[in-house]
Amino acid sequence: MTRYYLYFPLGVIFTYFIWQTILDNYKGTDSSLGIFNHHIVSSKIDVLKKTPSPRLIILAGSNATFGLSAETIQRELDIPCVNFGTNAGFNVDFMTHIVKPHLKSGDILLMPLEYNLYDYRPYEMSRTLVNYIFKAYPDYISNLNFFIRTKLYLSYSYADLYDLLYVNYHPNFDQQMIKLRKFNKFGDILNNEKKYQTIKYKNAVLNSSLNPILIEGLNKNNEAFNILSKFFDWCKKNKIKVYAAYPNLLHKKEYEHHPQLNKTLKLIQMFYKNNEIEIIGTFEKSKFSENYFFDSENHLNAEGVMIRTQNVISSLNKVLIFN
Amino acid sequence: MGSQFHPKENGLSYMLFNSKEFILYFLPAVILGFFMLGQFNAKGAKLWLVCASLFFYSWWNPPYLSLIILSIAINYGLAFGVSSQGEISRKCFWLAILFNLGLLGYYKYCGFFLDTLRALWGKDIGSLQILLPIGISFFTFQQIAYQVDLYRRKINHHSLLDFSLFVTFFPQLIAGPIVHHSEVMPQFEKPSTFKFSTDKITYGIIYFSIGLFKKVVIADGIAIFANRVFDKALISAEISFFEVWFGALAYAFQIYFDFSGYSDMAIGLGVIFGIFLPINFDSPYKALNIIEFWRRWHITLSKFLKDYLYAPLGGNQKGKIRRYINLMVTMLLGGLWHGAAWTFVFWGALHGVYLIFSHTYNFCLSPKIRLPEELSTWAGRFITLLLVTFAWVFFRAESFESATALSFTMLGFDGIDLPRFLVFLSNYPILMDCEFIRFTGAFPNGYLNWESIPWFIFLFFLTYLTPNSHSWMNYKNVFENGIVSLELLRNTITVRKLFVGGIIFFIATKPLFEDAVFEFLYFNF
Repeated sequence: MTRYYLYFPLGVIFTYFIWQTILDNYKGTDSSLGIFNHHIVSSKIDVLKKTPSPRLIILAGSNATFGLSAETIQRELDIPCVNFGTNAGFNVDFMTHIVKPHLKSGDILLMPLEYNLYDYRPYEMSRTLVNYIFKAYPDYISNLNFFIRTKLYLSYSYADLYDLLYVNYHPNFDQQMIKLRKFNKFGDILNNEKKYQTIKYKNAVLNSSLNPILIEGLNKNNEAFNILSKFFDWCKKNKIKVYAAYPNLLHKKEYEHHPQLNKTLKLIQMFYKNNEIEIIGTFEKSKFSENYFFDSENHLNAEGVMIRTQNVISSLNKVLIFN
Repeated sequence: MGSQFHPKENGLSYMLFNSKEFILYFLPAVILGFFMLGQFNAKGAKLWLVCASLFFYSWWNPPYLSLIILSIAINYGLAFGVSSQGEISRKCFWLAILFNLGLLGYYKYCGFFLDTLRALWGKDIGSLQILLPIGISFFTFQQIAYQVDLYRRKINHHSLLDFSLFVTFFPQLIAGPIVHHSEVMPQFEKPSTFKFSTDKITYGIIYFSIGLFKKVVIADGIAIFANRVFDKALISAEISFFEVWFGALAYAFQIYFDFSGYSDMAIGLGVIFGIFLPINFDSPYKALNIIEFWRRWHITLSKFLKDYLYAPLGGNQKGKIRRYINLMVTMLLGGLWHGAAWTFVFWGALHGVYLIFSHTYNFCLSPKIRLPEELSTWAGRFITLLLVTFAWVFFRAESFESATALSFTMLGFDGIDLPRFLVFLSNYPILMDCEFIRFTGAFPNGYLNWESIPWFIFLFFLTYLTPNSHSWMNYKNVFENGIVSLELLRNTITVRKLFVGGIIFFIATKPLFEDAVFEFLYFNF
């Protein structure tokens, strides 16, 4: 009977270590998703490095990239501005981890975090995040505790390993995905004009059922709030001013009078209030109809970006002058 | 598929055997409850299993729980009449058959027939949007078999609890195997079934892991190649001769590993609860001809169709012509059972034709042709695989038009694209002016490439040169003639099997920690 409890688990553990060894061997190498996000983050870090401090840094997932124009903000408010919108598939812990080393005293952070980022579950890791960590931040893995680290290794999918091997053995691999994201020198997206919106993109907006604001079970004890609070404390210590904002939201009929929407909003507003962080703009002004969206319900088209940027500028103007 | 629409499109989802919900929460809770209750009261354990199975079913779509309960209640009630004597028995029997076929007909075929009528008449006669209840084909057939066996006095009518358990037992509820009452219920009568057995649980987990591995790693892995080709066919894209053949072959492997993987999981789960379910697959692609293929593929369905359709039609007892007609009718209805679409009917018809040819060949030519045994074995397997793969195109394609286009390409009507390295052949006089043969590469459209070939080689190796799961687990000997040999079961779980089982378990369950979940193909039938 003892053999049941010994050899079966031994087989499981043995295979896990083989799996971990394979992935360790490919740390830092390219995969399709890894290359894609590396292109986004490294482009943004380049912009950040080139922009003199003090500066206004817009920090969030891709709703910032496809939602605000740093170029317009810099022009109208006369303050160096960087669009550091990366990927909503990253969690708040990782997002703050990558930006921290590049922040300087006197910087101002504007954080229109996507609603899903307030729902952080350490043991849930998106493919986007896992691939990117293995590609660009292998040191982040060693900082994780044993269980989260194990989960990270297990989250790497077979399909992604196949993709990783394929990309590694095909140096001339066509990096089509990278061409989808072109940025200006402020980190703003370039190719989101309506003329670039394909039928596939349009359908992705029309048929989207993400409903990002309806986060069931979200409560004040969520780890995201804890991580963000610590980050705000760190910012305060380093004399970095932080403002929050609402992310872009596709207006839907089903949101009207939805109890979960009010719950989410109240929770987020209370959290920022407790942390003495001001929210720029109103929730109403973050809502747009489908005509202003480009390829997903987080991404505005150029027209939408301009409207949203003007709204944010007028709100920012008041607080920046006041401060 | 006619006017049916599937749960996925309706925002509903199944509790898959390879889902987190099932493996991490549902299964451990059910095992725990079953053996805890089983220690004190077998009836309590059975009731627990029925409730758990109904919960498992309702996870998909709670309102449809009432459908399966209604089906069980009416069948159970009518079974009282069927088990009585004389005219009442006969009337109740036909009422039960009518009810079951009516239920299946309404939910599965109503939209299909309306669509067909509309197409024939060219008039709008309205349409029906009916959600196909998951597993309806399986639990309806199982209850029909019960009524027939009862009518033929092969079994006695049981208690409501036993009957409900027989129909709802979750390992086989939604995708089979289709079990006979006599195969399962006597096992639930044994007190040993309710005793916690580390041997059975370990054996069951290893068996379940093998099935999970087949589904998650093999079927889902090869599905990528099949999907590429069939998706392109739907938009009438150009696909080459070898791209279609390899796409169809990929589907042949996908459906085999998917469905046999599911059956292995069902068997493994059954053993965990001390119930040994019948084998549903016996290396069908190793069959030497189509007749043998159907003895090895979806065995419990084949057996059902043979016992409850082919035999009552007269089987092979009324002359050759009637035998062939009976075969064709059985296969046509078998095709229709798989799905309410003409593609499935045609798939059934193709197999009907194959079977008729196979029987004719066996009768007329086989005795006259003598080949070395090894050669005849591999030639038989090769031809069977080709025929089955060709037929799968109709089974998989989403429209009759795309299936026809693909099959024409497979038959070479669109020419054959050969690899470029064979271009020297174009110097041969016979190929010099042949427009039919092109040397543009075997995969000129890029839907497949030479890098996908190792997958196929691996699957050929796995299919033809390795033992199947029940041989590896010695299942036929462990469970022989309804008797479980615990000693053989224990001896089967060697140190090597435990270690390999652990490896398979890890590989098969690792995707639980990833994002994507694929569905089992047979849930739609």
